[in-house]
Amino acid sequence: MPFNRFVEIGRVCTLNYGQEFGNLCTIVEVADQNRVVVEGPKVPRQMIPVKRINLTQFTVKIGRNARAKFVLKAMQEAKVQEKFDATVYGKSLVARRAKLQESDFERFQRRMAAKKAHLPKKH
Amino acid sequence: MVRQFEITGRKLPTKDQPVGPIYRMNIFAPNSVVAKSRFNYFLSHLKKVKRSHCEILEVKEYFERKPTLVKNFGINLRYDSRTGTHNMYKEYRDTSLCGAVEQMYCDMAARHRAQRQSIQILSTQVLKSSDVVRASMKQFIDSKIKFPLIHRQIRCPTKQYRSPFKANRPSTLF
Repeated sequence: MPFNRFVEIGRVCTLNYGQEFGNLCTIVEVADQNRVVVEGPKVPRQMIPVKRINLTQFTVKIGRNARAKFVLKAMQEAKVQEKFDATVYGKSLVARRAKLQESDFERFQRRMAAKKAHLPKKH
Repeated sequence: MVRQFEITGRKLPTKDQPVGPIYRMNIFAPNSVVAKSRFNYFLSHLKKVKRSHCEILEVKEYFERKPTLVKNFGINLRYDSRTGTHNMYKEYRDTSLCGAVEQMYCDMAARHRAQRQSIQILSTQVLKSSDVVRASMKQFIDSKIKFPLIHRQIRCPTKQYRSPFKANRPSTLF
């Protein structure tokens, strides 16, 4: 199986752990085999282990150790967030976020709808 | 986590020597108490100053100026093995000197079974990328570096979702 997602400078990733779970960020520098420096619109620049990121299929064009201004601009211009939200994983994250922000009434509505869908049909 | 301290001390003034020399040392230690202890230990090796006749004048902690920029660090060290004392030079890539020292301690423990108390850091340098010697570090000094991630176990997004047993085998693809 050929690889098509690589750890490289400019690779867009999502974080899979902690408070910034699901947020997009870009690899700015590769420290070693296990650690990279990332930055994104909702992710402060930091060095993290590669175990805590998921690589996406997107890349942006930035230089090594590019400043925040250029990284965020490149991500915005490439419309990375929009493109990612359209992917399967992106959609699931959007749905999860929407579910978390539901009000009590919306939760109730969803429960009722689910209940109705599962009821046996009357003949 | 290792922290970097700069410790200044002197031998207590005596009648014979009312104004003695002042000594300053950079120490890597988990906290200032350990740092002071290590300062006394090293000073007693180098000079005729024992802990009972030593006075600590200042304890200063150093913080990394650019804590998100990856640098190349070279560390000269000496360590006591089971059979003798050896000098060594090692290189690490990290965002902070303390991180590099931490890596070195782990490395020394793994490769040489050398514990922290038997390691002396002689000097540390920030290296230009052209000055890096070790091939294992050189390979990462490349703006076009590119490598795939092969296998891993996906972790739970937070600690609360962790469980010792799973219903399904994990997918190890990245």
